[in-house]
Amino acid sequence: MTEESSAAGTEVARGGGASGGNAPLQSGRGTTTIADAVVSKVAGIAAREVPGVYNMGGGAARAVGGFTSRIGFGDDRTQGVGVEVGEREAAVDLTLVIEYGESIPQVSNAVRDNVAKRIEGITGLSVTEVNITVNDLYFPGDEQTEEEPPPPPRVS
Amino acid sequence: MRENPPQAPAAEAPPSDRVLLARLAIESALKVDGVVDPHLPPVGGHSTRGAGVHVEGVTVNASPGGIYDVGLHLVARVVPLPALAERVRDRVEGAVRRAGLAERLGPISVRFEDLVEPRPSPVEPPEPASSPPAPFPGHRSP
Repeated sequence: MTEESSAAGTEVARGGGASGGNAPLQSGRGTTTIADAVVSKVAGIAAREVPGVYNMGGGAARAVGGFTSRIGFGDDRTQGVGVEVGEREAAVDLTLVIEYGESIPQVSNAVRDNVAKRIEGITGLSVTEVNITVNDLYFPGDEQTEEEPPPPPRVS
Repeated sequence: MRENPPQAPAAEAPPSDRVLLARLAIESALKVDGVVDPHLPPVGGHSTRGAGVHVEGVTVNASPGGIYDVGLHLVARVVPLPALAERVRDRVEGAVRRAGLAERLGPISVRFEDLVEPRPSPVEPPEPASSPPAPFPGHRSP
């Protein structure tokens, strides 16, 4: 089951960014730049902090990400996260799986707020937008069916 | 006509100011709390090469006026990064000043390439309930 939320593209920019310890990203002493991987990781961690977010990424990304993280490659914290990072601003796209029964708009707004707050606090970049796609719903028990032991043999 | 005196065999050439600055910069940066490693991607990467020297995670390039621009490429913990960059600059500038190279140091650019987040440690099985230690074999209690 796939649902698309309409909670995309809301402006969440606040202040002038650069709130990470009140230090500017550019000064006479040199520039501070933040790689895309850093912003992706912060966004992924921040989104997962919000109650109601079960997982991130599309079905294929979750399957591949689960496999690669089990064998020690890849980082599932950036799964379902796309970013565009400039010198002072960042835009974030997130794909979420939300727990069934939670309000998708409320969870989306909470994710948007937390992601913007964390990125601005940690990187000093101003977040211009956080676009959210709700890709799936999680029903409790979905995982148990995947991990059920095989049935016992019917013949000895 | 005067002849030049015979020269002693050339000792190993001292590292250039550029290589010294690279070493000082990355070594100082790695001492700052919050900086984990120089960024070492599997392919490519940022380094300063001199005669037989290869300093990873830092680029030092000459600028007009005899100064060198320093670029640090770092992996950090999840902390406010602009403030961390300022602490890195403070540390590098101090080390360079003590080495007598302050007049050669230009702007210090800091690029955070990746973050390291401590993953929660796997849940360990609970220890068995505390019970009095078993007596040594042959031990006889009074």
